[in-house]
Amino acid sequence: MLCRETEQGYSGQEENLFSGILELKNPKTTESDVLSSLFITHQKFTQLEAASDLSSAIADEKTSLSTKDEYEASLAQKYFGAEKSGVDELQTIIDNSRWILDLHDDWDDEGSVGYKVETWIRAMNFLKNVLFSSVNDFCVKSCFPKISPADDGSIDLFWKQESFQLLINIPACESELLAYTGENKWGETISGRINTNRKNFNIAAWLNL
Amino acid sequence: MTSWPVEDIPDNDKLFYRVNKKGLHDNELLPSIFREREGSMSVDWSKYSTAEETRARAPIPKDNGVVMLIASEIRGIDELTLIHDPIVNNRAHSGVMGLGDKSVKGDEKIRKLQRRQHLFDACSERGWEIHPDDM
Repeated sequence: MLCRETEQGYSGQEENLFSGILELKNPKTTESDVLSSLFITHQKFTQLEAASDLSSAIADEKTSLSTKDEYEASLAQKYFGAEKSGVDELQTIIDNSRWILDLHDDWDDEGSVGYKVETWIRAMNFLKNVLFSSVNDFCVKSCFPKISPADDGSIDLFWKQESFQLLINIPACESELLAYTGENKWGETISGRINTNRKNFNIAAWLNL
Repeated sequence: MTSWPVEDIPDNDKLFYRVNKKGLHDNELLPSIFREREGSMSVDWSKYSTAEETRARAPIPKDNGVVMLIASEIRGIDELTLIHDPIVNNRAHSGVMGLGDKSVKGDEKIRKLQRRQHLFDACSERGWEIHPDDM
């Protein structure tokens, strides 16, 4: 599995592949920079989607995620050595969480808030960012979380392993920071609040315990 | 209208908490099951309710399962309190206060997350008291 900083920059062939990404022309550019740029582009695309009318966003969301996934999958395989099965498994995990979008206001007949497609997309993009960071920055394919609907329209990502637990809550309100908390078998803890759209090394590192 | 007296809930007593299966995947218990409604998380005290009765109080009982918590487990979680809060049709009704709702801000959001996780730790190994698919 590759996890290296390029000392002599990328080859012409790779530059062609990523034409338009100026950072690639910088010999100091790392794979992490490349992936970050791509994530930012994807996130801007997603934000534009969310800003458009909801029905259009829902109709486009499956296609856009699929396109992005194929692109990221090819990246992962080419640069980070991620096994195709791992990428497919991530896509399956994401697909299997779509049921959350069927929970509308008062889904439990007791007044609970429903779940917006925008929240779900932000949660899935954040999950992808974390897992790709795990591969890219720590050379480890992390385990996958349980994805579940939490209170007030928020979505939980929950990892429970023998060595650690990690709980992340993505709020329904995009302007709010997500919160996370974790504890490992040595009694060490991690917690914080971060922007959903930003890469976070602490969480990726925690997943590699 | 009967007004039930408020009593102290002993530390060793059980509390039943209803969980709607529509919020679960494969009926798997997760920290996300714990949520406040109108200022508290409602539970039923075992002195005046069985798990079956707790389930039966749901708007659609067959959509619900029940998990069990011990009073001392709830009280052992930072900032959570447990009080008996009987209502007209349910003498067992009790409230877990302090979990937090959408109004919490700043680092309190982290503490709310930790409280949910600790509640999950308390009941996850025991599993369901009544599984949602039990008839």
